Amino acid sequence: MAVIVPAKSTRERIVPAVGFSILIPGLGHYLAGRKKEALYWFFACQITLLLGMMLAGHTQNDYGFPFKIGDATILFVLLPECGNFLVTQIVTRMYESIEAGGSAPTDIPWRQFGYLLSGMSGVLGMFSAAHASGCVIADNEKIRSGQVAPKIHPGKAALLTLLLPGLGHWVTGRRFKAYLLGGAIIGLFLLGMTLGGFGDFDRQRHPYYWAGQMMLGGVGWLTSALTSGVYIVEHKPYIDAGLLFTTSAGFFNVIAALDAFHRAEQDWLAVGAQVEVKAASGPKGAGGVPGAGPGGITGAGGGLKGAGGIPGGAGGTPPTPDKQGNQS
Amino acid sequence: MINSIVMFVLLVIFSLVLSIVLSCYREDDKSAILKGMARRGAVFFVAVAGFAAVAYMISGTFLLPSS
Repeated sequence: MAVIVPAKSTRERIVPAVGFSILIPGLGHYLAGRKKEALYWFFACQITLLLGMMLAGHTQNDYGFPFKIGDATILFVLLPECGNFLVTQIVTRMYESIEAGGSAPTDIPWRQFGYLLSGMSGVLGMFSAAHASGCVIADNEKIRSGQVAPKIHPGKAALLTLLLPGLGHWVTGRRFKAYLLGGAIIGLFLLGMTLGGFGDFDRQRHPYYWAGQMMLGGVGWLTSALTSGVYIVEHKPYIDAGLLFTTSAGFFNVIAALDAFHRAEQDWLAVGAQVEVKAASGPKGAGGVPGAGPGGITGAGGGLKGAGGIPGGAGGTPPTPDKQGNQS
Repeated sequence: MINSIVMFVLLVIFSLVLSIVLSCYREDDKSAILKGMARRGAVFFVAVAGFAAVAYMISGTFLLPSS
């Protein structure tokens, strides 16, 4: 199997876009020249974080792990808020949990909503990195003349998957995968919630599982908001399986988002003007990206025993073999 | 009380979902996804069921306090 990868110049821009987005959501967009989107991401992530911290009385700090040298905290790991890294580090140092002052969690009526908001901030911070990466690809990988650009760039596909599992695949035309992934992930989550009596999406009770459950995105966040007043008051024999299912659903959604990003990226690059093919692990003889068309690039299949080619439009880049015998 | 049949069904469901996610990640073609699902789901199911069987056997023999 061979995959098309962005040009080296694009790849070099993706790395800082991702890194700076994790540091401060929006910064990656700003560096990529998307100033308006940078502002949206920055305010969306910081408002949710600060409001969430305020509503929960900064009790989020009780779920984090400080790494210290002497008395100085050098890193405060708080999941998933750390997806919005820098501001989380600052806020957790500036304010103490009100429980440290003797208040009980039950004194904070909005704490579950606060946890939801601050957790959303971290997850959105992580996905801002994917979105910034997609923006860099869209801005730097120009479309060949005569070709139509895909409807959405890879970052949007990943973001739509966060909104609803399978939606990123749906908009890129992969209806079968959309149904399959969306149905499987949401079904697993709902089964898990049922096994836990709809009380197992609770940070206070299961903080580690909760961090994974938050990765489910829109469906999970909505469920969390709707079930914030539900508590487990009796023994549930299958609650462990329920927790495993709901948390796995969150992680599976991250895999689905990665796949949506990758497939949308392949769609984008397949009509791009500058194409590079690299071998990926896969069965022998399956090399190359199938395609037809005059001119453009024909791939020899990433050094594997296969034949195939990248769809070529008129006036494509002349093929030049690289070290693995690929054509680029 | 945990029911073994329910646990068996839950393992089948989890194996199915895992195989769907993995196959969709690895493949992009409908027939390849369906083909990969059966293989990956069966491998995961057999591996977990195998571990469970071994754990059950040694808990009833070597790990019994009286033995």
